[in-house]
Amino acid sequence: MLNIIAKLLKVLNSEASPRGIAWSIALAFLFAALPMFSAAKWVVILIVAVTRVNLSSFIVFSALFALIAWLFDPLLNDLGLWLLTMPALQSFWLSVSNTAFGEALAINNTLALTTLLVGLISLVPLYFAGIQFVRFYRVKLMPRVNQWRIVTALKSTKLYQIYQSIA
Amino acid sequence: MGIFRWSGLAVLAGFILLIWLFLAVWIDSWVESGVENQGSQLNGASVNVDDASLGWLLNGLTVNSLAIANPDDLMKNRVMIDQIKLNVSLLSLFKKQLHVNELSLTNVKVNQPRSTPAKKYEPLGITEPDTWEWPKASLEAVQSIDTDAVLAKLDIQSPSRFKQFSEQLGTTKANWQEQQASLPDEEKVRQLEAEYQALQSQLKKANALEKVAVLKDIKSFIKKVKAEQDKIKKFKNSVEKGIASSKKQWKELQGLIEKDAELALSMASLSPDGMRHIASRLLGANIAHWLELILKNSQRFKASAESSEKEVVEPREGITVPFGNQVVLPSFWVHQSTISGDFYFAEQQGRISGDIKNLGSGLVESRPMSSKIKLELPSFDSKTGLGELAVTVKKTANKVNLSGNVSLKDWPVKSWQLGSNQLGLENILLSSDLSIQTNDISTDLVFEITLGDYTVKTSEKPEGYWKYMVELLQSSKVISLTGRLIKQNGETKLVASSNLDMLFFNRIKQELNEKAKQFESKVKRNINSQLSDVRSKIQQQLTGLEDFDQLLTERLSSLEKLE
Repeated sequence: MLNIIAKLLKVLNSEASPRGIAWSIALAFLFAALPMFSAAKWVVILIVAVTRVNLSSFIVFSALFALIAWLFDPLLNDLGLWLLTMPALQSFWLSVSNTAFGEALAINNTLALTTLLVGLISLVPLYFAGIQFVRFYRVKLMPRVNQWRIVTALKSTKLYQIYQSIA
Repeated sequence: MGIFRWSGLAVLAGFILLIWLFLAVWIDSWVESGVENQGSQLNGASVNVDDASLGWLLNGLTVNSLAIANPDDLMKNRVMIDQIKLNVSLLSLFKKQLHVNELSLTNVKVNQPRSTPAKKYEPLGITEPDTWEWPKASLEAVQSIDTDAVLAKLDIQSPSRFKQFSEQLGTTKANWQEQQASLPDEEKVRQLEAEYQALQSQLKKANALEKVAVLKDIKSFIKKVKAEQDKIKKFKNSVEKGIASSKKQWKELQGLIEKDAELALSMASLSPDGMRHIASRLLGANIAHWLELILKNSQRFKASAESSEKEVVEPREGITVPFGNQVVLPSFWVHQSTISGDFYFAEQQGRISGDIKNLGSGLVESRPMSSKIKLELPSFDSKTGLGELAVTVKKTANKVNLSGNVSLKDWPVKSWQLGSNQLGLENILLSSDLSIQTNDISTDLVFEITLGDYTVKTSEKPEGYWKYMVELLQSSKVISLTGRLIKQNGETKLVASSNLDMLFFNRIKQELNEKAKQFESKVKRNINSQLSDVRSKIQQQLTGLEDFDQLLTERLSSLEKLE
């Protein structure tokens, strides 16, 4: 765990492309929100593997977003149920869920549907927010963070030594 | 530097390979322990697996040597299956469900001995069906009749009803005494007599003019007496009616002893109806065990099919909403399974084939569970024993209906015990047709069983009923038993008859009648001894009520003299 956090700090502090980190944040959100049985989750993994998305930040943010997704489960379920039982959309769900595509994405499942929708809708905004966050961190936050007592204390710990060794 | 990182694919492939290796190594022991732990708890006794192995594509699982122990006899296995092959839907595993596309069972062994005793487990979530009479209580009642035991079980009404009646008579008398207080008592009657005599003497002494006035007084006196008479008459009427009704009740109450005795007779199976079917009870003791097993398991199966799975939404699972022809399957589901290979029943070896569709941890309305299994077993006299089992369980609007049929033809049965060790049949050809229908309201099981080509085996000196039974079985070549078992509102009723019923009844009729008579008189004596005190008290109370009426009659006649 320490190793992963160290890697993340390294990524944020390094010259790694803010766009690569931002995409990893956006995709981590989509990945963490989707349930295991949705094929979309595995497509995200494939995308992360073959594109130049930052892997370290993807792993850390996936863990963070998984916790958030777990907390929002009941809300997402209610939203999904509302969408799937909406009379006006019945014929649409019927036609989509009976296709191989719909079946693979488990579109008739409340959680699979809403997480896919929320994840896709927030993909681009999260990407831009990610860029802003990395830039903000590097320009404004990093010098201040480095002066925090907790950070100086941290520098004398094993974590910092690991960070130094891989930096 | 493009946006693609093709080396990532290799990393991903390596990662998947690692997961696959992990699963391939660990899943075998995971399946083994899963089947053994869950299966043992569901079965109520040990379930063992020799080994389990996962196919290269992770979806084919093979389980070797599955042994399901018999919870009622831990030294025997209920069923043993040499090999089970499962084709699992991988997608369902991601939903923490187990959906099996195809399941095949090879070589089935029923009722085989175990080398080591099985362990007993508390069965999970299964409601035990109510017990029913035939197998134990009824048979014991036929064989030995213990009057005291029957009386202990008998809800005798007479003593409490007698006591109640006595209390009722006491209350009636108290009410009448209270009402009598408002009527003219003895002293009042004497006063009226004195007044009457005074008026009479006044009339004698009076002159013509005075006579008119005295007569007027006499007239008003008679009017007063009549009013008193009416009061007494009215009350006397109600007393007479009360006495008549009490006497009627008393008569009915005495008849209750007869009813109690009849009830005791029927409990001891000595009622005419109970006696008539005594042969079928003795012959059917062995069948009763199988019927009970069928009833018990159909109830268990229905109960587990009815139990709807938790509707709580598990974290990260969501709710699946079916559209069109889609169905939401329960957490465990087998689409199609086939059974084939050798079939071992006790020491005999035959063949088995069949299929089961839509077997799962719950029922789906549009997909009824159905099974058809055929069995072949070499029988006696170079015949082949054939067996067919068909079961369908349907769910409609939250109701579960189970219908099943078991038919056997020339099925070899090595021995058949007839209720006692004194008598048995050997090398029997059994043919039977059994059907069961169970729904939310009732369970109806109809059976027809024929035993033929048997040899009778007896102990040296069969005693009691058994000696007649031996004679009958030796002279008769076929035994047929028919019956119907109905379970409704928690009560189980069995009606069974045999072709030997009347023959057997005629042989033992006299003996049974004598026994019934003795039993009846013993029951009556017992009841009468409990009632002796209260009976004499009631008789005294009734006499007391009649005395009351007598008193009113006397008072009324005294008043009538004054008119």
